[in-house]
Amino acid sequence: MTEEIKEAKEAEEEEGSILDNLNRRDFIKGAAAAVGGVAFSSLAATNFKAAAAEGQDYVIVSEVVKGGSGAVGAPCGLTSTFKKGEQIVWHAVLFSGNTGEKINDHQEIKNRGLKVQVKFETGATIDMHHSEHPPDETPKIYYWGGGWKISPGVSPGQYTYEITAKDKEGRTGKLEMFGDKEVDTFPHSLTIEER
Amino acid sequence: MTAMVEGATTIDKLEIRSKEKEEGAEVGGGQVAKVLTPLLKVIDSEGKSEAIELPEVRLIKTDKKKNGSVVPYGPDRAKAWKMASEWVQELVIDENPVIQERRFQNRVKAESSYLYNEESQELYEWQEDEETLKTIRPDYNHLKKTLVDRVGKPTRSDFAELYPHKYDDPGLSEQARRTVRDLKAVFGSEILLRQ
Repeated sequence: MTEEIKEAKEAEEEEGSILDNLNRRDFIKGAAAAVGGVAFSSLAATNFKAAAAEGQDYVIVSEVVKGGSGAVGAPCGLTSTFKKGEQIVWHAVLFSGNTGEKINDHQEIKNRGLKVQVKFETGATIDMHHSEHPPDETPKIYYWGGGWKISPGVSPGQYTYEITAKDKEGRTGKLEMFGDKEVDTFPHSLTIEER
Repeated sequence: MTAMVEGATTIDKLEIRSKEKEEGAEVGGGQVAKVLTPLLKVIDSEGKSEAIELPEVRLIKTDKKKNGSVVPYGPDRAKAWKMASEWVQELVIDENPVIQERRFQNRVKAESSYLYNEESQELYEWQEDEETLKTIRPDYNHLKKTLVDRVGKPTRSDFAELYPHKYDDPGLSEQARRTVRDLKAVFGSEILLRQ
């Protein structure tokens, strides 16, 4: 465990969970942005115990939002409930399971040959892409994103998903529902409703 | 005419199968005489034909129609139109390049709002883009014509019955209003009878 993680762990024991003051959305946004820093490392640090116990090389922190295609209401809002015709969008930021460092430099990600995928219970596999947001001329923030449009033929109900990461060296990470509970209140399953 | 979108699944035609119903089944205060099953024939990007079953429409004998004629059961008719509308959205409207571009701009606005806390901007709604919709509708007019000929135009009361308002209110429920709005955008506002 690095000094930074140790310090973060001690700070958390003294001050309580950073999640008390920082919601997951701000965490993803902040982690993806260039700011980085102790706050994000310490927030992610609580997740490393689980990652270490599992022998994971990558720690995945994610959120689920409504995409722009077919959205009922405004897109980009956090949600776990979708209507048919809407688009489910996963965002993610990766950290090293060993050092706690954020791994979000685009060139480094290319060099590592990192691939991140969502496996949805419907049977769909969604490739996530490490790209710039927003996709226009404004200042860019990089994070992983992947979307899936809900066809009218999908049965309403609850569906689970998992997110996995793998690089060209064979190092892996998996978004573990139990492991991330401490830091990440992301939805464990998504509900699809009639439109 | 076939609704063509290069490289995507396209609508070929709508077929409606009819079968007599055994004596005894009743719905909506009338005896079920026949059941219509609409089949939406589509062609995938590899040229393979596929049939999508839309909801059945039961035709009922009513007391007023003792001469042997039958009428569609309203909520069934509403379901069939709703599903036809959803498949047209999926296969034609969502693939239209003008609508896709406008949705991309929605995404840029939504992500800017999220990442940089910019004020929410007005978002594009395809249901209000009559100029574009007018150019698309001829591509699937054959589908509309078949449904009108065989099950009739849907009525406001069909949707009120299918999605009742949770309060005993004369207006339509939110889900019914949303469905009617999409339906009128897809097939033109004259499709709905205000009965």
